[in-house]
Amino acid sequence: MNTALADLLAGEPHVVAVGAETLSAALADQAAHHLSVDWRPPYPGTEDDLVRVFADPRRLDANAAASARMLAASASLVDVRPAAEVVGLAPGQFCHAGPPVDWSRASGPMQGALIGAMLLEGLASAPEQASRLLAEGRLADGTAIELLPCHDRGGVGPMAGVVSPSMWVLVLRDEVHATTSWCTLNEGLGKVLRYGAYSADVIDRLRWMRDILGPSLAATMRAAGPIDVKALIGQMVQMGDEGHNRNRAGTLMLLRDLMPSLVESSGLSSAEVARVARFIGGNDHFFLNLVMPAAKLQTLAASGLAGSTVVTALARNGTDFGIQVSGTGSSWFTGPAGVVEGLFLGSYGPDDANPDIGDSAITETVGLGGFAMASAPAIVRFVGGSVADAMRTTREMYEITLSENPAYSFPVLDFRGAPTGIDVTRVVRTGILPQINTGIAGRVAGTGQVGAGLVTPPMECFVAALQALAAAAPPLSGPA
Amino acid sequence: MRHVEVRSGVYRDSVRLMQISAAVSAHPWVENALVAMATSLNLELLGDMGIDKPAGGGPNDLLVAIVTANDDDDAMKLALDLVEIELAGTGTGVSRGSEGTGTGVLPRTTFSTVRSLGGSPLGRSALGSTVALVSTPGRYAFVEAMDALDAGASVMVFSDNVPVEQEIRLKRRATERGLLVMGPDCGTAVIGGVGLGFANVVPPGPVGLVAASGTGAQQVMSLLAGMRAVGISHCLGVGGRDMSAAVGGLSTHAALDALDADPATELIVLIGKPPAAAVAEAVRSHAARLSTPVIVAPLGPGQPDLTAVVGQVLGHFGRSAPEWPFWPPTAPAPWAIGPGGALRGLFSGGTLCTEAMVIAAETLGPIWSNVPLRPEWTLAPRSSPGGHVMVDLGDDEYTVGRPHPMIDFGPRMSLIAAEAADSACRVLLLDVVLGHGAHPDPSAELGPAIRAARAARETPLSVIVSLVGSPHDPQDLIRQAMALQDAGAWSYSSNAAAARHAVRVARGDSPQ
Amino acid sequence: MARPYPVAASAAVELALVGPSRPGMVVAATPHATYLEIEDAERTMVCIASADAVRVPCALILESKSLPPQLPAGTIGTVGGGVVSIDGISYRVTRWWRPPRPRGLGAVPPARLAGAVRWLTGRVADPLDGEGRAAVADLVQALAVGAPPDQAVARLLGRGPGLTPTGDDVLAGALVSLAALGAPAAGPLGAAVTAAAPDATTTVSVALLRHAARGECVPQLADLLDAVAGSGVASSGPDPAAGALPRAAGALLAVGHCSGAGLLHGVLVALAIAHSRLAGGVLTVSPAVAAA
Repeated sequence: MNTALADLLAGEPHVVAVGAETLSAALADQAAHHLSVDWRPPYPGTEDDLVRVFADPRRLDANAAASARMLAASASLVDVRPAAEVVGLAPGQFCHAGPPVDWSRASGPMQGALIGAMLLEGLASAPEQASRLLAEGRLADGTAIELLPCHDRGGVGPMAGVVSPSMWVLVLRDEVHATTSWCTLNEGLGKVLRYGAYSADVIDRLRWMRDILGPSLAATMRAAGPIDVKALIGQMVQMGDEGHNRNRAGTLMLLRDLMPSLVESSGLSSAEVARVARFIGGNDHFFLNLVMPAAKLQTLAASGLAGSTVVTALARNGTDFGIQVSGTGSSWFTGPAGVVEGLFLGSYGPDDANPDIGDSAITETVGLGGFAMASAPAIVRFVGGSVADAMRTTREMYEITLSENPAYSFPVLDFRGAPTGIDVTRVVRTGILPQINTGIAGRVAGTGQVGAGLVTPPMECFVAALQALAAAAPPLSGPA
Repeated sequence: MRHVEVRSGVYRDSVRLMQISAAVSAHPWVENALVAMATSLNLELLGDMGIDKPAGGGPNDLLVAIVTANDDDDAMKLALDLVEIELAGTGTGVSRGSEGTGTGVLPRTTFSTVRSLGGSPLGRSALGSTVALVSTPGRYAFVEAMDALDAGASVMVFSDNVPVEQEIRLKRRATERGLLVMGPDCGTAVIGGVGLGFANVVPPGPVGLVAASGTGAQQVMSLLAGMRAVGISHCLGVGGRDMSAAVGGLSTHAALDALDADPATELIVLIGKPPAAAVAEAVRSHAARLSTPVIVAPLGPGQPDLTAVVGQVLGHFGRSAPEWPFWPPTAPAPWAIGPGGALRGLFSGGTLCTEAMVIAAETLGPIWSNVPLRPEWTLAPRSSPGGHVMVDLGDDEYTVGRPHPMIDFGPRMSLIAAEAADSACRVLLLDVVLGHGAHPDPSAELGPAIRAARAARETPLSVIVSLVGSPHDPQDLIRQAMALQDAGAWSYSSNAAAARHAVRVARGDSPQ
Repeated sequence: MARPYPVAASAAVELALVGPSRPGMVVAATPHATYLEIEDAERTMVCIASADAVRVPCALILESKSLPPQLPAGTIGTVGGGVVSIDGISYRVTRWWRPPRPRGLGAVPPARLAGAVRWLTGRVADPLDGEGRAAVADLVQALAVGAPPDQAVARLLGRGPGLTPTGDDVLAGALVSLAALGAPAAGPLGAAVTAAAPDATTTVSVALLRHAARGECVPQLADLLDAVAGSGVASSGPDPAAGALPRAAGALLAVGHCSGAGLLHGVLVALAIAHSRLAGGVLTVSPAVAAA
């Protein structure tokens, strides 16, 4: 006789009722302890796939392992190196955000960022030439141009996420699972490559980053030693940052940790040190590019577990929204990228906005960003919401996630951990979509950022992922 | 004025929608209102309201159709406002649960709801463990039930229309996790005095029930409820298919073990529909190994009926069975004895129907049914072959998209009228099941229908009711019996006794 | 009259509840519990209690979030036919529950009981005053030699403040534990307590002592005895401090202002009565505790 069954009859039960309200009423009439589920039917057409996935005997253990691995993953900044070395990019190869996309389907900001990268790499002398070569798919010397998702190379890129060989990347390491991830250096706000801008000042800044900022940070890191990014994230979410649209506290803590070694070991003149310090300290989003690869390390740890329904990537390329799921490996499940609802800068309006873009939703995949809104009340207005919305949003995200991350805990929710591990089945069952905080890029190549706001993935990504999970599950009538 | 619309993304269960339709229809300006999920069955009903089917709309969408008496917009506007109020749940009482979650966001899955419940300060022997009660439409039930098991809770699946391979998977998972799955199609359970599903108010006592049938268990518990000191410790439903060869009695074995380990249970009684032979053998030998005595009493030809099983239980405790209560009609029948005629049974309880058929077939021969004792006695859907017929209105053909017939008397009311119009029908046998969750006042609907049926006849029509209920049930057993008496019906607290009386009338042995 | 409130009623008071309608009078009320004494032959007590209240064996438990009526003592209502009506409000029994009656402690090896006694005495202060302690010592001695316990019982009944005086709680804890142990002393002690209580203590306490004499108790006491027996509650290893016992003791001590401490001390007294070798451990009072 096991304990669970013995307990069942030990006293009165605590009843959880799901379905007919009359049966809940019957419990109330008996003064019985009960709580009703706020249930409604799953997304239409998913019923059979849900049954198949729920019957998969591997699901529970696989999801438990995915959760445990996501929470156990560590993240330390260990190095800063050129993408050519870290990502293995050759001339003509570019990484980009989101699921795979080719030039013809690429959105304005994606095309603009690729043009800028061609200019930075010296593969074209003018935007028109870059655009023509990209459309033809060949460099002037005949080498094929390749566009690769950052995620497929173990990294992440904000907004357009375009990475070319000479750009320096931050290298983060998860010692627990012996994995590495990377992300570019953040350029700042306004007219920047990641928002599709490629004017001369944009390219000049990228050159400075390539020639001065990257090498000096590399030298600084050699002296400073690894920096525990996971610990910094844990602190920043208790300081009003949600790790996606607000990274102010994280950026300042990073600068604090880098500063002594930057002064001592970077080999820069004091004027150059000051410029580096101003650049980092003046760009509240510098730390976003560390939160993202730290998050990627968490989802890498959880990926490729047969039977697991945990989402390992939410990513957009400006045209498509794509998700990856642990149990289906590197397959992308896509739907049209949504329109971001939010506030616009200056005279920009909704007509100027490009659809949702960037790998930065990796932060939501691990319970930060939109999932952590309750912990970042200062920015709720920036993304067009209220504090009450923020609290409700975070609480709702617990309904679609499998675990809570004690390393990232929210004081306002009594130190409840970040809702971590989006479960495809729960998204489909509840209709609650992951809430993403994001910047809005201009629709026209070269514009830059036009606003910020809130967006959700299209439901069809999750429906398609569920279908693939169902197809991979053993038949229902087989042995358990 | 007529109005029809289809709304997507709005869901309410069928009982709630029935209540909403009734509440809106009750307004004097409203002639007819149908607020229901847009199933093909419900879309067909629009024709009767003189409304064309709207474009689009599927079973997950909400259909709102209203016919108002006045031609002005105000009446329609008011009716639509009423719909909004009722849908928002601010109309008639809605029970969200005895406990808030404190988060402001209501839990949306069974898993998150089970996990949101903390430990109890009342002590383990006051509040045991969490049990989930799943009553969603059948095709969603597997996922919610599995969710409960994942969260570590035993589960009762009230829903029907759950495929057997899903049942097997649930029960295997429960076995692995040391939990119990009651059902699917489990109508009643009592755990620690709390009734789940359709539940009679029964005093606690030494008898633990393992029931493969809901109304069978309700019959046993209701009869015992009238007997002092022979109450119920727990009643664990296992689902009508549990003792089939396919399922292999997985939950029956677990339930037997659980009751054997329970200090409050002194006698275990196992009831249900006829089991598969190999499963029955395994269950009997399992029962023989337990330290608690077990009465294994499946229903079937040659087996004791449920009332006789209650007699055995009383005998075990040194008590003898009383004459079980019955209530004759207030006015004596104006008819002389004989001739007999056809027996027509209209049941809301499947086991009560089976038990009545077993009893009737011994004397009357073939009983046609949608749940026949023998395949050759199968009644084609909604047909009327003449002869003796007993229908289980809880069977799938009557319940898709509708509440259980113990709540919704609609189909039975029209069948009563149809039988009254058939001069071959000599005796109507009905069951009325009381308790939490069931119709709040059955005699208020059935009484007038019985009176009208008998008044419409030129030839004798006897109406006999099997009245299953405990003296403590909220509908008030005695009041129900008296209302049925006044309507001209006989009522029996024993379903077997009711069936025997009906047989006597059908044979022409009794005037009533 | 408004729709009756549903209550889950204790089967221990079933006869009085379902019997013919009789007057019932409020004798005590706290924010979470209102006690009514019924004018039947046994002067049965029922307690309308909130769902969070301590579940006494005569409780009629309300839905969560409902509170019992706040009525002055002396208010008269009626009880019968499964309904309690008072001050225009009625409560209808919609469910029955059985108060716990712990059993089977007699089969537990004495070494295991001794371990539990050691752990409990080291951590729980004796709630009685000096005179109370002396009375307990006399009680243990009388029962050990088969002498009538009446005198010691008389010195304990009504000793201490509150609705259930501490001396009564100790006696109640001892009665329930002796019944659970199947100890012969249960009979004479029960008889002595039920005979003397009506003239010696509060009406509510008299009723609860009657339940205790039948072995019926609050769930927290049943859980503690379960833990002492080392059965049922998960994770109680060979070290009694490692799981169930501390949890159960903590829950019991949280009952009432000091009722839980009295009941717990009663458990130790019963163990001392039933197993004379354990008596030393129970009745040795540390100087610190004695000084307090």
